[in-house]
Amino acid sequence: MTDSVHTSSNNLPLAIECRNVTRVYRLPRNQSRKAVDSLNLDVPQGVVFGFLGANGAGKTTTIKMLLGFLRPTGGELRIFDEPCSEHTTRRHVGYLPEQPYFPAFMSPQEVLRMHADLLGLRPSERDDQIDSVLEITHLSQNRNLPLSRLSKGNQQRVGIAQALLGRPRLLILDEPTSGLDPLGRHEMRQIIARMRSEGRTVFLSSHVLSEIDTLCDQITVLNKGRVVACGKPSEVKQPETAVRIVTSSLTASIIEDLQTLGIEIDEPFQTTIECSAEQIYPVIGVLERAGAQLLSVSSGSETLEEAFLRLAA
Amino acid sequence: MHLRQIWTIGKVTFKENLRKQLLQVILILTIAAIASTTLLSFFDMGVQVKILKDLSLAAILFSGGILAIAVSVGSIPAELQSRTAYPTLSRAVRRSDYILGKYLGICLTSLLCMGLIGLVFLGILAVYEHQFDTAVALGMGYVFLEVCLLAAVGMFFSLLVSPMVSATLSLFVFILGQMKIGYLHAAIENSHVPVATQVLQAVYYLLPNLDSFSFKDALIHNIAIPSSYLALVAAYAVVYTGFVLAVSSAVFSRREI
Repeated sequence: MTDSVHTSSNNLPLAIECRNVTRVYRLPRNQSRKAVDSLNLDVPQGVVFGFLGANGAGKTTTIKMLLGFLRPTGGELRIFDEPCSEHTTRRHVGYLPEQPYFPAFMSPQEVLRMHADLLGLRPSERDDQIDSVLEITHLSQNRNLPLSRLSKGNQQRVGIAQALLGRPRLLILDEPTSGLDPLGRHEMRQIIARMRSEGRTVFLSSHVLSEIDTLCDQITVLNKGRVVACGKPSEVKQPETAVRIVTSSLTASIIEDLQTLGIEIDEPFQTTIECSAEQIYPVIGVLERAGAQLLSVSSGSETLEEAFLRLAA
Repeated sequence: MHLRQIWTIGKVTFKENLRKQLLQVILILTIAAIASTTLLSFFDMGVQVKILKDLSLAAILFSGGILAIAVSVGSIPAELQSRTAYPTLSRAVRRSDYILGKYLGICLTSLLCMGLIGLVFLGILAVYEHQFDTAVALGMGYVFLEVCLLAAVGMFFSLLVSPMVSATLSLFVFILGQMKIGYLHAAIENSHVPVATQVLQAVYYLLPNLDSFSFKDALIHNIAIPSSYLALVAAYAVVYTGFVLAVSSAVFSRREI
Protein backbone atom coordinates (compact mmCIF):
# COMPACT_ATOMS: atom_id res chain seq x y z
CA MET A 1 0.00 0.00 0.00
CA THR A 2 1.40 3.36 -0.98
CA ASP A 3 1.28 6.30 1.39
CA SER A 4 0.48 8.87 -1.26
CA VAL A 5 -2.92 9.06 -2.87
CA HIS A 6 -2.71 8.59 -6.64
CA THR A 7 -4.07 11.46 -8.64
CA SER A 8 -5.16 12.16 -12.19
CA SER A 9 -3.34 14.52 -14.54
CA ASN A 10 -5.45 17.40 -13.21
CA ASN A 11 -4.52 16.44 -9.63
CA LEU A 12 -7.86 14.94 -8.63
CA PRO A 13 -7.53 11.82 -6.46
CA LEU A 14 -8.40 8.68 -8.39
CA ALA A 15 -11.36 6.39 -7.88
CA ILE A 16 -10.26 3.87 -10.52
CA GLU A 17 -6.80 3.33 -11.82
CA CYS A 18 -5.87 0.79 -14.51
CA ARG A 19 -2.27 0.36 -15.52
CA ASN A 20 -1.35 -1.62 -18.64
CA VAL A 21 -4.24 -3.99 -18.07
CA THR A 22 -4.43 -6.85 -20.51
CA ARG A 23 -6.84 -9.73 -20.52
CA VAL A 24 -6.45 -12.67 -22.84
CA TYR A 25 -9.13 -15.35 -23.20
CA ARG A 26 -7.92 -18.81 -24.06
CA LEU A 27 -9.88 -20.39 -26.87
CA PRO A 28 -10.00 -23.98 -28.09
CA ARG A 29 -7.21 -25.29 -30.34
CA ASN A 30 -4.51 -23.23 -28.62
CA GLN A 31 -6.03 -19.99 -29.86
CA SER A 32 -6.52 -16.87 -27.79
CA ARG A 33 -8.33 -13.55 -27.95
CA LYS A 34 -7.18 -10.29 -26.41
CA ALA A 35 -10.31 -8.77 -24.90
CA VAL A 36 -8.46 -5.90 -23.22
CA ASP A 37 -5.13 -4.68 -24.51
CA SER A 38 -2.76 -2.49 -22.46
CA LEU A 39 -5.60 -0.49 -20.96
CA ASN A 40 -4.67 2.62 -18.99
CA LEU A 41 -7.52 4.37 -17.25
CA ASP A 42 -7.64 7.16 -14.68
CA VAL A 43 -11.07 7.87 -13.26
CA PRO A 44 -10.93 10.85 -10.90
CA GLN A 45 -13.11 10.86 -7.80
CA GLY A 46 -16.41 12.70 -7.95
CA VAL A 47 -16.92 12.55 -11.71
CA VAL A 48 -19.37 10.73 -13.94
CA PHE A 49 -17.19 8.68 -16.23
CA GLY A 50 -18.58 7.24 -19.45
CA PHE A 51 -17.15 3.97 -20.69
CA LEU A 52 -17.99 3.43 -24.35
CA GLY A 53 -17.34 0.79 -26.91
CA ALA A 54 -19.09 -1.46 -29.37
CA ASN A 55 -20.16 -4.96 -28.34
CA GLY A 56 -17.05 -7.04 -27.67
CA ALA A 57 -14.84 -3.96 -27.19
CA GLY A 58 -13.81 -5.10 -23.71
CA LYS A 59 -16.12 -3.03 -21.47
CA THR A 60 -17.71 -5.90 -19.56
CA THR A 61 -14.35 -7.66 -19.22
CA THR A 62 -12.89 -4.50 -17.69
CA ILE A 63 -15.84 -4.17 -15.29
CA LYS A 64 -15.49 -7.83 -14.31
CA MET A 65 -11.79 -7.29 -13.58
CA LEU A 66 -12.62 -4.22 -11.47
CA LEU A 67 -15.04 -6.35 -9.44
CA GLY A 68 -12.58 -9.22 -9.03
CA PHE A 69 -14.68 -11.64 -11.10
CA LEU A 70 -11.83 -11.99 -13.60
CA ARG A 71 -8.09 -11.70 -13.11
CA PRO A 72 -6.07 -9.58 -15.54
CA THR A 73 -3.52 -11.46 -17.64
CA GLY A 74 -1.22 -8.50 -17.08
CA GLY A 75 -1.23 -5.07 -15.43
CA GLU A 76 -2.88 -3.73 -12.33
CA LEU A 77 -6.32 -2.42 -11.38
CA ARG A 78 -6.98 -0.34 -8.27
CA ILE A 79 -10.08 1.21 -6.72
CA PHE A 80 -9.45 4.05 -4.27
CA ASP A 81 -5.83 2.99 -4.30
CA GLU A 82 -6.63 -0.55 -3.16
CA PRO A 83 -6.05 -3.58 -5.39
CA CYS A 84 -9.17 -4.97 -7.05
CA SER A 85 -8.04 -8.50 -6.26
CA GLU A 86 -8.86 -7.87 -2.56
CA HIS A 87 -12.49 -8.46 -1.61
CA THR A 88 -12.38 -5.59 0.91
CA THR A 89 -11.86 -3.10 -1.94
CA ARG A 90 -15.46 -3.75 -3.01
CA ARG A 91 -16.84 -2.28 0.22
CA HIS A 92 -16.71 1.10 -1.54
CA VAL A 93 -18.50 -0.14 -4.65
CA GLY A 94 -22.14 -0.38 -5.68
CA TYR A 95 -22.61 -2.41 -8.83
CA LEU A 96 -25.53 -2.62 -11.20
CA PRO A 97 -25.10 -5.49 -13.67
CA GLU A 98 -26.33 -5.12 -17.24
CA GLN A 99 -29.38 -7.19 -16.31
CA PRO A 100 -29.78 -7.51 -12.56
CA TYR A 101 -30.62 -11.07 -11.60
CA PHE A 102 -32.11 -11.82 -8.21
CA PRO A 103 -34.05 -14.87 -7.05
CA ALA A 104 -37.52 -14.39 -8.57
CA PHE A 105 -39.35 -15.40 -5.38
CA MET A 106 -37.83 -12.52 -3.39
CA SER A 107 -39.46 -9.12 -3.05
CA PRO A 108 -37.54 -5.83 -3.50
CA GLN A 109 -37.57 -5.43 0.28
CA GLU A 110 -36.02 -8.89 0.77
CA VAL A 111 -33.37 -8.31 -1.90
CA LEU A 112 -32.41 -5.03 -0.28
CA ARG A 113 -32.38 -6.51 3.21
CA MET A 114 -30.09 -9.28 1.99
CA HIS A 115 -27.69 -6.78 0.44
CA ALA A 116 -27.84 -4.53 3.48
CA ASP A 117 -26.86 -7.54 5.60
CA LEU A 118 -24.02 -8.38 3.21
CA LEU A 119 -22.87 -4.78 3.63
CA GLY A 120 -22.97 -5.20 7.39
CA LEU A 121 -25.40 -2.33 8.02
CA ARG A 122 -26.88 -2.09 11.51
CA PRO A 123 -30.65 -2.86 11.67
CA SER A 124 -31.79 0.74 12.20
CA GLU A 125 -29.42 2.09 9.55
CA ARG A 126 -30.46 -0.78 7.27
CA ASP A 127 -34.16 0.03 7.45
CA ASP A 128 -33.56 3.74 6.91
CA GLN A 129 -31.41 3.11 3.88
CA ILE A 130 -33.84 0.59 2.41
CA ASP A 131 -36.69 3.10 2.75
CA SER A 132 -34.52 5.78 1.20
CA VAL A 133 -33.42 3.79 -1.87
CA LEU A 134 -36.95 2.45 -2.40
CA GLU A 135 -38.13 6.06 -2.37
CA ILE A 136 -35.43 7.19 -4.81
CA THR A 137 -36.22 4.38 -7.24
CA HIS A 138 -40.01 4.74 -6.84
CA LEU A 139 -40.42 1.17 -5.64
CA SER A 140 -42.02 1.86 -2.26
CA GLN A 141 -45.43 0.66 -3.39
CA ASN A 142 -44.06 -2.57 -4.86
CA ARG A 143 -41.67 -3.34 -2.02
CA ASN A 144 -43.41 -6.56 -0.99
CA LEU A 145 -44.29 -7.98 -4.39
CA PRO A 146 -42.21 -10.93 -5.61
CA LEU A 147 -39.81 -9.97 -8.39
CA SER A 148 -41.51 -12.44 -10.70
CA ARG A 149 -44.54 -10.15 -10.65
CA LEU A 150 -42.62 -6.96 -11.39
CA SER A 151 -42.11 -5.50 -14.87
CA LYS A 152 -38.64 -5.56 -16.42
CA GLY A 153 -38.26 -1.87 -15.72
CA ASN A 154 -39.12 -2.31 -12.06
CA GLN A 155 -36.70 -5.21 -11.78
CA GLN A 156 -34.04 -2.89 -13.16
CA ARG A 157 -35.02 -0.38 -10.47
CA VAL A 158 -34.42 -3.09 -7.83
CA GLY A 159 -30.94 -3.50 -9.29
CA ILE A 160 -30.37 0.24 -9.07
CA ALA A 161 -31.69 0.33 -5.50
CA GLN A 162 -29.33 -2.44 -4.34
CA ALA A 163 -26.41 -0.64 -6.01
CA LEU A 164 -27.23 2.53 -4.05
CA LEU A 165 -27.34 0.73 -0.70
CA GLY A 166 -24.53 1.48 1.70
CA ARG A 167 -23.95 4.88 0.06
CA PRO A 168 -21.04 3.62 -2.05
CA ARG A 169 -18.24 5.97 -3.01
CA LEU A 170 -18.12 4.40 -6.45
CA LEU A 171 -21.08 3.27 -8.53
CA ILE A 172 -20.39 0.96 -11.43
CA LEU A 173 -23.43 0.99 -13.68
CA ASP A 174 -23.59 -1.32 -16.66
CA GLU A 175 -26.37 -0.20 -18.99
CA PRO A 176 -28.42 1.36 -16.16
CA THR A 177 -31.33 2.45 -18.35
CA SER A 178 -31.80 -0.93 -19.99
CA GLY A 179 -35.49 -1.84 -19.79
CA LEU A 180 -36.54 1.53 -18.38
CA ASP A 181 -39.25 3.63 -19.98
CA PRO A 182 -38.55 7.32 -20.82
CA LEU A 183 -39.71 8.36 -17.35
CA GLY A 184 -37.43 5.77 -15.76
CA ARG A 185 -34.52 6.94 -17.89
CA HIS A 186 -35.13 10.50 -16.78
CA GLU A 187 -35.20 9.38 -13.13
CA MET A 188 -31.98 7.43 -13.67
CA ARG A 189 -30.28 10.51 -15.04
CA GLN A 190 -31.47 12.41 -11.97
CA ILE A 191 -30.04 9.72 -9.68
CA ILE A 192 -26.68 9.91 -11.45
CA ALA A 193 -26.67 13.69 -11.25
CA ARG A 194 -27.49 13.42 -7.54
CA MET A 195 -24.60 11.01 -6.99
CA ARG A 196 -22.24 13.46 -8.63
CA SER A 197 -23.55 16.34 -6.52
CA GLU A 198 -22.88 14.22 -3.41
CA GLY A 199 -19.28 13.76 -4.53
CA ARG A 200 -19.56 10.12 -5.54
CA THR A 201 -17.92 8.66 -8.60
CA VAL A 202 -20.10 7.05 -11.26
CA PHE A 203 -18.56 4.68 -13.78
CA LEU A 204 -21.15 4.41 -16.50
CA SER A 205 -21.13 1.92 -19.32
CA SER A 206 -23.92 2.58 -21.77
CA HIS A 207 -24.84 2.42 -25.41
CA VAL A 208 -27.26 5.33 -25.06
CA LEU A 209 -24.87 7.98 -26.33
CA SER A 210 -27.15 10.94 -25.76
CA GLU A 211 -27.21 9.94 -22.09
CA ILE A 212 -23.43 9.72 -21.94
CA ASP A 213 -23.11 13.07 -23.71
CA THR A 214 -25.46 14.76 -21.25
CA LEU A 215 -24.26 13.13 -18.04
CA CYS A 216 -20.57 12.42 -18.29
CA ASP A 217 -17.72 14.67 -17.28
CA GLN A 218 -15.21 12.39 -18.96
CA ILE A 219 -15.45 9.52 -21.38
CA THR A 220 -13.25 6.78 -22.73
CA VAL A 221 -13.93 4.93 -25.95
CA LEU A 222 -12.68 1.38 -26.31
CA ASN A 223 -12.19 -0.40 -29.58
CA LYS A 224 -10.97 -3.99 -29.70
CA GLY A 225 -9.76 -3.72 -26.12
CA ARG A 226 -7.75 -0.55 -26.64
CA VAL A 227 -8.48 3.04 -25.66
CA VAL A 228 -9.05 5.00 -28.86
CA ALA A 229 -10.22 8.25 -27.28
CA CYS A 230 -10.53 9.75 -23.83
CA GLY A 231 -11.29 13.11 -22.31
CA LYS A 232 -14.29 15.37 -21.92
CA PRO A 233 -17.12 14.59 -24.39
CA SER A 234 -16.43 17.92 -26.10
CA GLU A 235 -12.78 16.90 -26.54
CA VAL A 236 -13.65 13.51 -28.00
CA LYS A 237 -16.06 14.99 -30.51
CA GLN A 238 -14.43 16.73 -33.46
CA PRO A 239 -14.89 20.51 -33.43
CA GLU A 240 -17.03 22.26 -35.98
CA THR A 241 -16.21 20.65 -39.26
CA ALA A 242 -18.91 21.35 -41.75
CA VAL A 243 -22.09 23.16 -42.57
CA ARG A 244 -25.09 21.07 -43.47
CA ILE A 245 -27.52 22.35 -46.07
CA VAL A 246 -30.72 20.40 -46.46
CA THR A 247 -32.73 20.80 -49.60
CA SER A 248 -35.89 19.26 -51.03
CA SER A 249 -34.21 17.44 -53.88
CA LEU A 250 -30.94 17.21 -55.73
CA THR A 251 -31.25 16.84 -59.46
CA ALA A 252 -28.45 15.62 -61.71
CA SER A 253 -27.77 19.17 -62.90
CA ILE A 254 -27.44 20.47 -59.31
CA ILE A 255 -25.04 17.65 -58.47
CA GLU A 256 -22.96 18.53 -61.52
CA ASP A 257 -22.87 22.22 -60.47
CA LEU A 258 -21.92 21.25 -56.91
CA GLN A 259 -19.08 19.11 -58.25
CA THR A 260 -17.65 22.17 -59.95
CA LEU A 261 -17.49 23.71 -56.43
CA GLY A 262 -15.60 20.65 -55.20
CA ILE A 263 -18.53 19.09 -53.34
CA GLU A 264 -19.08 15.40 -53.89
CA ILE A 265 -22.52 13.84 -53.48
CA ASP A 266 -22.06 10.13 -52.85
CA GLU A 267 -25.64 8.91 -52.81
CA PRO A 268 -28.15 9.76 -55.58
CA PHE A 269 -31.15 10.40 -53.27
CA GLN A 270 -29.21 12.38 -50.68
CA THR A 271 -30.75 15.73 -49.80
CA THR A 272 -28.06 16.94 -47.37
CA ILE A 273 -25.05 18.79 -48.64
CA GLU A 274 -21.99 19.11 -46.42
CA CYS A 275 -19.69 21.95 -47.19
CA SER A 276 -17.25 24.33 -45.57
CA ALA A 277 -18.32 27.71 -44.22
CA GLU A 278 -16.75 29.43 -47.28
CA GLN A 279 -18.86 27.34 -49.65
CA ILE A 280 -22.26 28.26 -48.15
CA TYR A 281 -23.17 31.11 -50.48
CA PRO A 282 -21.98 29.49 -53.72
CA VAL A 283 -23.97 26.35 -52.80
CA ILE A 284 -27.09 28.35 -51.98
CA GLY A 285 -26.64 30.14 -55.28
CA VAL A 286 -26.60 26.83 -57.15
CA LEU A 287 -29.76 25.71 -55.37
CA GLU A 288 -31.53 29.02 -56.04
CA ARG A 289 -30.71 28.92 -59.73
CA ALA A 290 -32.06 25.38 -59.99
CA GLY A 291 -35.22 26.36 -58.09
CA ALA A 292 -34.58 23.82 -55.34
CA GLN A 293 -36.24 24.48 -52.03
CA LEU A 294 -33.83 25.27 -49.19
CA LEU A 295 -35.03 23.50 -46.02
CA SER A 296 -32.30 24.25 -43.48
CA VAL A 297 -28.76 25.41 -42.99
CA SER A 298 -27.02 24.26 -39.85
CA SER A 299 -23.56 24.03 -38.47
CA GLY A 300 -22.25 22.31 -35.38
CA SER A 301 -19.70 20.00 -33.97
CA GLU A 302 -19.77 16.27 -34.39
CA THR A 303 -22.35 14.46 -32.26
CA LEU A 304 -21.14 11.84 -29.83
CA GLU A 305 -22.83 9.22 -31.97
CA GLU A 306 -20.86 10.37 -34.99
CA ALA A 307 -17.67 10.42 -32.93
CA PHE A 308 -18.43 6.94 -31.64
CA LEU A 309 -19.04 5.61 -35.14
CA ARG A 310 -15.79 7.17 -36.29
CA LEU A 311 -13.78 5.81 -33.36
CA ALA A 312 -15.37 2.41 -33.01
CA ALA A 313 -15.38 1.59 -36.71
CA MET B 1 -14.78 -15.29 8.07
CA HIS B 2 -17.77 -12.98 8.30
CA LEU B 3 -20.58 -14.77 10.13
CA ARG B 4 -23.33 -12.32 9.21
CA GLN B 5 -22.56 -12.63 5.50
CA ILE B 6 -22.45 -16.43 5.76
CA TRP B 7 -25.79 -16.44 7.59
CA THR B 8 -27.36 -14.09 5.02
CA ILE B 9 -26.26 -16.23 2.07
CA GLY B 10 -27.33 -19.36 3.97
CA LYS B 11 -30.82 -17.99 4.64
CA VAL B 12 -31.45 -17.13 0.99
CA THR B 13 -30.11 -20.52 -0.16
CA PHE B 14 -32.38 -22.25 2.35
CA LYS B 15 -35.46 -20.34 1.15
CA GLU B 16 -34.54 -21.06 -2.46
CA ASN B 17 -34.09 -24.77 -1.78
CA LEU B 18 -37.48 -25.08 -0.11
CA ARG B 19 -39.08 -24.16 -3.41
CA LYS B 20 -37.54 -27.13 -5.20
CA GLN B 21 -40.14 -29.70 -6.18
CA LEU B 22 -37.67 -32.59 -6.03
CA LEU B 23 -37.14 -31.88 -2.35
CA GLN B 24 -40.88 -31.87 -1.67
CA VAL B 25 -41.28 -35.18 -3.55
CA ILE B 26 -38.45 -36.84 -1.59
CA LEU B 27 -39.96 -35.59 1.66
CA ILE B 28 -43.46 -36.90 0.88
CA LEU B 29 -42.23 -40.27 -0.43
CA THR B 30 -40.00 -40.89 2.60
CA ILE B 31 -42.73 -40.02 5.09
CA ALA B 32 -45.15 -42.24 3.14
CA ALA B 33 -42.61 -45.09 3.14
CA ILE B 34 -42.12 -44.80 6.93
CA ALA B 35 -45.84 -44.57 7.58
CA SER B 36 -46.47 -47.62 5.39
CA THR B 37 -44.36 -49.82 7.67
CA THR B 38 -47.16 -49.55 10.25
CA LEU B 39 -49.28 -51.63 7.88
CA LEU B 40 -47.10 -54.69 8.61
CA SER B 41 -49.35 -55.66 11.51
CA PHE B 42 -49.13 -59.41 10.85
CA PHE B 43 -45.78 -59.59 12.73
CA ASP B 44 -45.61 -59.61 16.51
CA MET B 45 -44.88 -56.27 18.16
CA GLY B 46 -41.13 -56.84 18.74
CA VAL B 47 -40.50 -57.89 15.15
CA GLN B 48 -42.62 -55.05 13.82
CA VAL B 49 -40.63 -52.47 15.77
CA LYS B 50 -37.39 -53.96 14.43
CA ILE B 51 -38.74 -53.85 10.86
CA LEU B 52 -39.96 -50.30 11.42
CA LYS B 53 -36.51 -49.23 12.61
CA ASP B 54 -34.71 -51.15 9.88
CA LEU B 55 -36.79 -49.90 6.95
CA SER B 56 -37.20 -46.38 8.28
CA LEU B 57 -33.51 -45.80 9.02
CA ALA B 58 -32.63 -47.18 5.58
CA ALA B 59 -35.24 -44.91 3.98
CA ILE B 60 -33.99 -41.89 5.93
CA LEU B 61 -30.38 -42.58 4.95
CA PHE B 62 -31.29 -43.10 1.29
CA SER B 63 -33.56 -40.06 1.04
CA GLY B 64 -31.11 -37.92 3.00
CA GLY B 65 -28.29 -38.90 0.65
CA ILE B 66 -30.34 -38.23 -2.48
CA LEU B 67 -31.54 -34.93 -1.02
CA ALA B 68 -28.00 -33.83 -0.15
CA ILE B 69 -26.75 -34.68 -3.63
CA ALA B 70 -29.73 -33.10 -5.42
CA VAL B 71 -29.46 -29.83 -3.51
CA SER B 72 -25.67 -29.52 -3.30
CA VAL B 73 -24.66 -30.24 -6.90
CA GLY B 74 -26.99 -27.65 -8.41
CA SER B 75 -26.78 -24.79 -5.96
CA ILE B 76 -23.68 -22.89 -7.08
CA PRO B 77 -23.73 -23.77 -10.81
CA ALA B 78 -27.37 -22.63 -10.99
CA GLU B 79 -26.50 -19.31 -9.35
CA LEU B 80 -23.60 -18.76 -11.70
CA GLN B 81 -25.64 -19.70 -14.74
CA SER B 82 -28.60 -17.54 -13.77
CA ARG B 83 -26.14 -14.80 -12.69
CA THR B 84 -27.82 -14.33 -9.33
CA ALA B 85 -24.35 -14.81 -7.83
CA TYR B 86 -23.01 -11.63 -9.44
CA PRO B 87 -24.70 -9.01 -7.23
CA THR B 88 -23.74 -11.04 -4.13
CA LEU B 89 -20.12 -11.48 -5.15
CA SER B 90 -19.81 -7.84 -6.16
CA ARG B 91 -20.08 -7.05 -2.46
CA ALA B 92 -17.12 -7.28 -0.11
CA VAL B 93 -17.80 -10.98 0.33
CA ARG B 94 -14.99 -13.50 0.49
CA ARG B 95 -15.43 -16.39 -1.91
CA SER B 96 -14.88 -18.76 1.02
CA ASP B 97 -17.73 -17.07 2.91
CA TYR B 98 -19.95 -17.51 -0.13
CA ILE B 99 -19.11 -21.24 -0.17
CA LEU B 100 -19.79 -21.53 3.57
CA GLY B 101 -23.06 -19.63 3.20
CA LYS B 102 -24.26 -21.87 0.40
CA TYR B 103 -23.22 -24.91 2.43
CA LEU B 104 -25.04 -23.61 5.49
CA GLY B 105 -28.20 -23.18 3.41
CA ILE B 106 -27.93 -26.74 2.14
CA CYS B 107 -27.41 -28.08 5.68
CA LEU B 108 -30.41 -26.09 6.96
CA THR B 109 -32.51 -27.58 4.16
CA SER B 110 -31.35 -31.09 5.07
CA LEU B 111 -31.97 -30.38 8.74
CA LEU B 112 -35.54 -29.27 8.09
CA CYS B 113 -36.35 -32.24 5.85
CA MET B 114 -34.69 -34.81 8.07
CA GLY B 115 -36.25 -33.17 11.11
CA LEU B 116 -39.73 -33.56 9.61
CA ILE B 117 -39.05 -37.15 8.58
CA GLY B 118 -37.52 -37.85 11.99
CA LEU B 119 -40.53 -36.41 13.82
CA VAL B 120 -42.86 -38.76 11.92
CA PHE B 121 -40.56 -41.75 12.47
CA LEU B 122 -39.95 -41.08 16.17
CA GLY B 123 -43.66 -40.37 16.66
CA ILE B 124 -44.65 -43.73 15.19
CA LEU B 125 -41.90 -45.43 17.17
CA ALA B 126 -43.10 -43.77 20.39
CA VAL B 127 -46.60 -45.17 19.77
CA TYR B 128 -45.17 -48.68 19.53
CA GLU B 129 -42.56 -48.42 22.30
CA HIS B 130 -44.61 -46.14 24.59
CA GLN B 131 -41.52 -43.99 25.06
CA PHE B 132 -39.28 -41.60 23.17
CA ASP B 133 -36.38 -43.57 21.69
CA THR B 134 -33.35 -41.34 22.41
CA ALA B 135 -30.92 -43.87 20.90
CA VAL B 136 -32.74 -43.76 17.57
CA ALA B 137 -32.89 -39.95 17.74
CA LEU B 138 -29.13 -39.92 18.28
CA GLY B 139 -28.68 -42.34 15.39
CA MET B 140 -30.65 -39.98 13.18
CA GLY B 141 -28.35 -37.18 14.25
CA TYR B 142 -25.45 -39.16 12.87
CA VAL B 143 -27.30 -39.81 9.63
CA PHE B 144 -27.65 -36.01 9.42
CA LEU B 145 -23.88 -35.64 9.91
CA GLU B 146 -23.34 -38.13 7.09
CA VAL B 147 -25.74 -36.20 4.85
CA CYS B 148 -23.90 -32.95 5.62
CA LEU B 149 -20.58 -34.57 4.73
CA LEU B 150 -22.03 -35.85 1.48
CA ALA B 151 -23.42 -32.38 0.71
CA ALA B 152 -19.92 -30.91 1.10
CA VAL B 153 -18.56 -33.53 -1.30
CA GLY B 154 -21.37 -32.83 -3.79
CA MET B 155 -20.74 -29.09 -3.64
CA PHE B 156 -17.01 -29.65 -4.18
CA PHE B 157 -17.66 -31.73 -7.32
CA SER B 158 -20.08 -29.09 -8.61
CA LEU B 159 -17.23 -26.55 -8.66
CA LEU B 160 -15.22 -28.75 -10.98
CA VAL B 161 -17.64 -30.50 -13.31
CA SER B 162 -21.20 -30.17 -14.62
CA PRO B 163 -24.11 -30.79 -12.20
CA MET B 164 -24.94 -34.08 -13.95
CA VAL B 165 -21.40 -35.41 -13.62
CA SER B 166 -21.06 -34.15 -10.06
CA ALA B 167 -24.36 -35.89 -9.14
CA THR B 168 -23.01 -39.13 -10.59
CA LEU B 169 -19.71 -38.77 -8.74
CA SER B 170 -21.48 -37.93 -5.48
CA LEU B 171 -23.73 -40.96 -5.85
CA PHE B 172 -20.61 -43.04 -6.46
CA VAL B 173 -19.08 -41.66 -3.23
CA PHE B 174 -22.35 -42.28 -1.36
CA ILE B 175 -22.53 -45.93 -2.43
CA LEU B 176 -18.81 -46.74 -2.19
CA GLY B 177 -18.53 -44.89 1.11
CA GLN B 178 -21.13 -47.21 2.61
CA MET B 179 -19.09 -50.28 1.74
CA LYS B 180 -15.65 -48.86 2.37
CA ILE B 181 -14.66 -50.92 5.37
CA GLY B 182 -16.18 -54.14 4.07
CA TYR B 183 -15.85 -54.67 0.35
CA LEU B 184 -13.18 -52.09 -0.48
CA HIS B 185 -10.88 -53.28 2.30
CA ALA B 186 -11.32 -56.87 1.18
CA ALA B 187 -10.66 -55.86 -2.44
CA ILE B 188 -7.32 -54.27 -1.47
CA GLU B 189 -6.26 -57.34 0.50
CA ASN B 190 -7.16 -59.69 -2.33
CA SER B 191 -5.68 -57.57 -5.13
CA HIS B 192 -2.55 -59.05 -6.73
CA VAL B 193 -1.98 -56.37 -9.38
CA PRO B 194 0.21 -53.57 -7.89
CA VAL B 195 -1.39 -50.77 -9.92
CA ALA B 196 -4.89 -51.90 -9.01
CA THR B 197 -3.88 -52.12 -5.35
CA GLN B 198 -2.53 -48.55 -5.45
CA VAL B 199 -5.68 -47.24 -7.14
CA LEU B 200 -7.87 -49.04 -4.63
CA GLN B 201 -5.78 -47.70 -1.75
CA ALA B 202 -6.06 -44.15 -3.09
CA VAL B 203 -9.84 -44.54 -3.39
CA TYR B 204 -9.92 -46.09 0.08
CA TYR B 205 -8.14 -43.19 1.77
CA LEU B 206 -9.86 -40.43 -0.20
CA LEU B 207 -13.38 -41.75 0.16
CA PRO B 208 -15.26 -40.78 3.28
CA ASN B 209 -15.96 -43.67 5.59
CA LEU B 210 -19.74 -43.33 5.55
CA ASP B 211 -20.19 -46.82 6.92
CA SER B 212 -19.01 -45.66 10.34
CA PHE B 213 -22.03 -43.30 10.62
CA SER B 214 -24.51 -46.11 10.43
CA PHE B 215 -25.60 -47.54 13.78
CA LYS B 216 -28.63 -49.22 12.30
CA ASP B 217 -27.84 -52.73 13.51
CA ALA B 218 -27.00 -51.55 17.01
CA LEU B 219 -30.17 -49.45 17.17
CA ILE B 220 -32.38 -52.27 15.92
CA HIS B 221 -31.00 -54.69 18.44
CA ASN B 222 -30.80 -52.11 21.25
CA ILE B 223 -27.04 -52.40 21.63
CA ALA B 224 -25.41 -49.47 23.43
CA ILE B 225 -22.80 -47.54 21.40
CA PRO B 226 -19.73 -46.36 23.33
CA SER B 227 -19.66 -42.59 23.70
CA SER B 228 -15.95 -42.53 22.77
CA TYR B 229 -16.86 -44.08 19.40
CA LEU B 230 -19.65 -41.54 18.90
CA ALA B 231 -17.24 -38.70 19.66
CA LEU B 232 -14.67 -40.12 17.25
CA VAL B 233 -17.21 -40.43 14.41
CA ALA B 234 -18.49 -36.88 15.05
CA ALA B 235 -14.92 -35.56 15.03
CA TYR B 236 -14.24 -37.46 11.80
CA ALA B 237 -17.32 -35.89 10.18
CA VAL B 238 -16.27 -32.39 11.24
CA VAL B 239 -12.67 -32.80 10.10
CA TYR B 240 -13.52 -34.45 6.77
CA THR B 241 -16.27 -31.92 6.01
CA GLY B 242 -14.02 -29.04 7.05
CA PHE B 243 -11.27 -30.30 4.77
CA VAL B 244 -13.62 -30.64 1.79
CA LEU B 245 -15.01 -27.13 2.41
CA ALA B 246 -11.51 -25.69 2.68
CA VAL B 247 -10.54 -27.25 -0.65
CA SER B 248 -13.84 -26.05 -2.19
CA SER B 249 -13.15 -22.51 -0.95
CA ALA B 250 -9.65 -22.60 -2.41
CA VAL B 251 -10.99 -23.85 -5.76
CA PHE B 252 -13.79 -21.24 -5.88
CA SER B 253 -11.46 -18.41 -4.82
CA ARG B 254 -9.33 -19.08 -7.87
CA ARG B 255 -12.26 -19.52 -10.18
CA GLU B 256 -13.19 -16.78 -12.65
CA ILE B 257 -16.88 -16.08 -13.06
